[in-house]
Amino acid sequence: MKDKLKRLAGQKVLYFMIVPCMIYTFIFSYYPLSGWIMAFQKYRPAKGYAGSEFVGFDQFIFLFTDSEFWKAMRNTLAMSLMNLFFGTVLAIIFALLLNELRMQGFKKFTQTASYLPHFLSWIIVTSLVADMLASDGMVNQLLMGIGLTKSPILFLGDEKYFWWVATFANVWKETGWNSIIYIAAITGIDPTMYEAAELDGAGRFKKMWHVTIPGIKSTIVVLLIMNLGWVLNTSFEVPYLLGTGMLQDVSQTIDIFVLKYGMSIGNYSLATAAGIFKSVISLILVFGTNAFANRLGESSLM
Amino acid sequence: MAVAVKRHRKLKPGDVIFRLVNGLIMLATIVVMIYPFWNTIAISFNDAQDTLRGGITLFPRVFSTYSYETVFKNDLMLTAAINSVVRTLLSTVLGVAVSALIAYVLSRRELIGRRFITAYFLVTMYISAGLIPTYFLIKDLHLLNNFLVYVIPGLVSVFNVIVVKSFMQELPDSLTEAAMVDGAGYFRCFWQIVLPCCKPVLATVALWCAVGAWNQWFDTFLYASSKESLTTLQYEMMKLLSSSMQTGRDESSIFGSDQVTNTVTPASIRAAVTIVASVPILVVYPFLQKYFVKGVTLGAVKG
Amino acid sequence: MKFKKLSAILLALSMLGSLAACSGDTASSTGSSADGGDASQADAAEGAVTDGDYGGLVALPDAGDPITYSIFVRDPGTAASDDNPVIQKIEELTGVSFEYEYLVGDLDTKLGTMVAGGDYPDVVFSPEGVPQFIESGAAIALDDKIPQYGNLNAMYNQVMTYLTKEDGHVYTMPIYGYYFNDVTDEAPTFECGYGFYIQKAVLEEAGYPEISTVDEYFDLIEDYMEKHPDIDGVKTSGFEILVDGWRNWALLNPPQALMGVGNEGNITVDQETLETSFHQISDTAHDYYLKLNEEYRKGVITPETLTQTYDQYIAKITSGAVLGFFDQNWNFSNGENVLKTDGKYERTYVSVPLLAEGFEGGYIDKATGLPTADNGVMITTNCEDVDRLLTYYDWLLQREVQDYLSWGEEGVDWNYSEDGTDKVLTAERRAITLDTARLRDETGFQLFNYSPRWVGIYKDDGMPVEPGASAAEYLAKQSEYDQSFLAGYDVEYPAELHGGAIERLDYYPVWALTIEDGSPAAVSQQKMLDIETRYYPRLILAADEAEFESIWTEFVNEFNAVDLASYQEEIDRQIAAKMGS
Repeated sequence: MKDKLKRLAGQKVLYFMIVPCMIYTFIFSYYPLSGWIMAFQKYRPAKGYAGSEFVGFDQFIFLFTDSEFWKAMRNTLAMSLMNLFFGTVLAIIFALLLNELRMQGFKKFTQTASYLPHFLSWIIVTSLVADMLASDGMVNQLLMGIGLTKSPILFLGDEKYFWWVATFANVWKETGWNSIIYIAAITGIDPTMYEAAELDGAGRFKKMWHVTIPGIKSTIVVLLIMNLGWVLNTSFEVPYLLGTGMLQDVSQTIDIFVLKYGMSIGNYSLATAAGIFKSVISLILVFGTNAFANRLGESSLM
Repeated sequence: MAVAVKRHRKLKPGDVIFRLVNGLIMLATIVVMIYPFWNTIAISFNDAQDTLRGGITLFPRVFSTYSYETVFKNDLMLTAAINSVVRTLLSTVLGVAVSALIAYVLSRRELIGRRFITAYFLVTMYISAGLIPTYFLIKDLHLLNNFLVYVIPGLVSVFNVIVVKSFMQELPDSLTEAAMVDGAGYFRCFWQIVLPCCKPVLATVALWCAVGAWNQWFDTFLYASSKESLTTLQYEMMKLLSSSMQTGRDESSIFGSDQVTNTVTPASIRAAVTIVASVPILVVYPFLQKYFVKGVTLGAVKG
Repeated sequence: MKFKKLSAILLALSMLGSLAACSGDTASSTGSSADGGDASQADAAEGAVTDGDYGGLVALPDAGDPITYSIFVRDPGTAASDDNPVIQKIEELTGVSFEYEYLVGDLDTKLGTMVAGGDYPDVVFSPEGVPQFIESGAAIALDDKIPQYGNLNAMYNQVMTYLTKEDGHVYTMPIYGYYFNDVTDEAPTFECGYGFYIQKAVLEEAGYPEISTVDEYFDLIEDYMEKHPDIDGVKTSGFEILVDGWRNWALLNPPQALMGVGNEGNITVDQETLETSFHQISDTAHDYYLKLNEEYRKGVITPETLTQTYDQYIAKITSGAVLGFFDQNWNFSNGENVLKTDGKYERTYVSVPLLAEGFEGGYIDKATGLPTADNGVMITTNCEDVDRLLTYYDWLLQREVQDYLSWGEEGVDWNYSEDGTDKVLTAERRAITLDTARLRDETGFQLFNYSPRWVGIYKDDGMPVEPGASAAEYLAKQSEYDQSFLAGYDVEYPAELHGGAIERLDYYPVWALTIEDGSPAAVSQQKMLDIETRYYPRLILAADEAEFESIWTEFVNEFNAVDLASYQEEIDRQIAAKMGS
């Protein structure tokens, strides 16, 4: 005990650094959570928390008993996970290949070019995707040109393509941007490791596999765990902009569902209830995978 | 720069093929990635009415700068640009500093209560009070229609903290141990040893902060929209874009305005707005790229 | 999160979009011509005549004491330039100026935080927000004040009962649409802005036939397609159906339109018994979608029309190769304008009055003359000088001021028509009104548009209030082709193809009734829309009639599984209340 106090005293500088940040976080993140009370009310902005009617778990019951909600849940998970998987893998591959480029000018240019799509709004990217996939668009012309199909494929009118289209749009827009952190992580690898591997006679791919990937593994794991917590939040714009009414069964996500039945008809309580639900799932996922990673001896969030 | 040293080694045929293939893949990537942006530029310089016909790909068909004239005619552009630059600078500098600070503390394994404090921050990434409670908070803190609303609420990004922290944890322990033994305090250790080693990740976080702050418009919309002097570039761009979408949507046809030949259209304005709003921030990255050169980290440590 | 903005806008628009109706007006001489007809003199405040270039305007006494009111407008937009000469002039004469805040982003979010936080401007124009503002006590009652101002009284006295809320007070001063008043009559309708559109060339080639059924409509299109497999090198498209997010009416609305009840809303009301029913699952809907399915199987409708984006749809229209579609005028006018610029007037469109068998009615609504849906400006409790604002609005309603705002100066901006019974714009001024930015920055359009104003034709001298109400101005804008097209049908305006305007009941339309936020009725309404947008495309694309019928049965079952009663009861209740039974 005395020992602990002594350690504590020795760490006072650390606490001096962290406590103000904790207070700040309390004010901006924890304190407003009192607003979650809305989820148990039929909240009306004009009446405020005090004046709004309490309805118990009605909002949650509405969510959980609606089959559309569960369909939206499935769609969200499917698109998020596909997105997370392909987004991560392609960003890493891109970073690895970029790292192999020798000409510094070309390397910088490639890197800069790759993150340009991130700055375009979704509506621009999705309209380009729609043009590409139109019946007279590039993709159909290509497929017909090489004889894979006789008549144009209706990519945006068929449920079975939609998740792939959404994933493609995401990958196109964000791969370059996502790769930045991996490029930074590769930069941090000790160059002597490569030299040692070379002395062992390792070739290019062996070095990637035995030096580079282990070197950025902690970054990969940490990002995966953190992003996993957001699987219920992502994919809002793409399904909204590309998902025509006939594709609702596969394109509607939780966020769209909540917007339709919550915000767009003035039901703030529903949006809050859905937010609480998502938070709970997120925290379970994050702390669960984190514990799992810990057990595997991987680096983790805490 | 240490690694850029040329190795005098004979190129094996496999290497040549690899470099060739890799170069081609990268070229293809460049084409695919640049196309949307290039296309947007072409549309932004094309006559708005002509753009409606579709089919603009690489070059404008009927050259026009009218969309840009519309964008720059706005009286508030200068104010908006200044606000955006200032908020971006402040958010980036403060954001990076705070992230690094918290990350450093959380990366100290000896910290008592470390797991709890980490979890305390981590949780906030996945909970949100929602629109209205947050609005009340901002109001109670007197941040409504106050420039500080652009800087203070987004100061701590836990995501950035965790990324920096995991980078710091990868640094060899020997690095700081030696310094601590020499009697350096935590703060000096942070400032003089850990921070310089973290340049690549701090550059990344700086980029995230800068782009995030620059692209932000929602806070202007919610908290500062009634004060023109606090407008931001993104907000002005949103305003232009939404008003171009509005044209002709009135139920009424007063003034015969239902017949208006639109000299601007959403597609054209969107293109011009995208270019105007993104080019200033695009220059940040090449500037930061110098921190992404291999060897910086340990070079600093050893040096 | 960063690019949430566009979606927010799309969503905001989606709420308004489905509501935008064909609010065609038609000539009538309803409304009692009570005294106060010459409103310009009713409240001409004393004050010095200014030496400006528009000498007819009389300044308000406190013009030397400037005041600025903030106003929030629910539409996206851009404030007029500070150099706008008309607005400067008005400020000089009244001392009153406005700081506009136009909507950027999502309207509900904006209103919700405004009301919750008590941070609102002096004046609000947002029909959607009126109930919330009243509920929170933020709106100022105007029922005692309006009668004190001559012009405002002349404008609203005939409709005060319709403006009065359940608590007995009036909170809004409507600014859109025609309603009974002492000073103006309705203007004629020149064009029907809603319905089945067909390319003029198709009608011309067929010898200007009168068509009234969906079968005749598609027969014409098929004939023309056969003779002209492509137009100007582009493959001819028979019939387009745009379904892109909130722009979904081309898919959803036709069955109701074919029943002759106009753009009513999500339920159809029997005009005699007031009984409500769901047209979505009616025989009319069944037959209409079956017809579309047949046309799909014939190749007149292509499947990708159901997946195209709005931009792709407009691009198709600009090619001149689209023969028909169902739409609202403003939605495709961008594309049509390109055709006009190209001089391809024969490729522009006209709406035709199609009805299902056994139904009467039409597409053009006769104005009810009654204000709907809180469509007006509201003054909030944050406003410091309410009376001065009302004095200002009253001042704006003077004939001289109204003419100055909407027409400008005689000889410079407009002239009397040849027979002296109407006004037309000068060519320069017309060019200004056809350019969005110049209209905003060089005329009084914005101030006129968002303030109480007269609508239609002045009773005393028959002159139009503004250029949009002027027949002479409408005809002056027509091309030669259009004139010969109209001559082919022997009509003066395209709207005459539709015969007369239809008188709707006082409650009309259903879409303007306010459904309580988050109520079961609101949820049911959303569910209905979801099911429709999911099934109609599948029906249209059915492989054969048997498949169509089985999808139809599935659709009807799923539709009926929605809690329709809660929606229907709510609408019934509101209609009964409006009809005063």
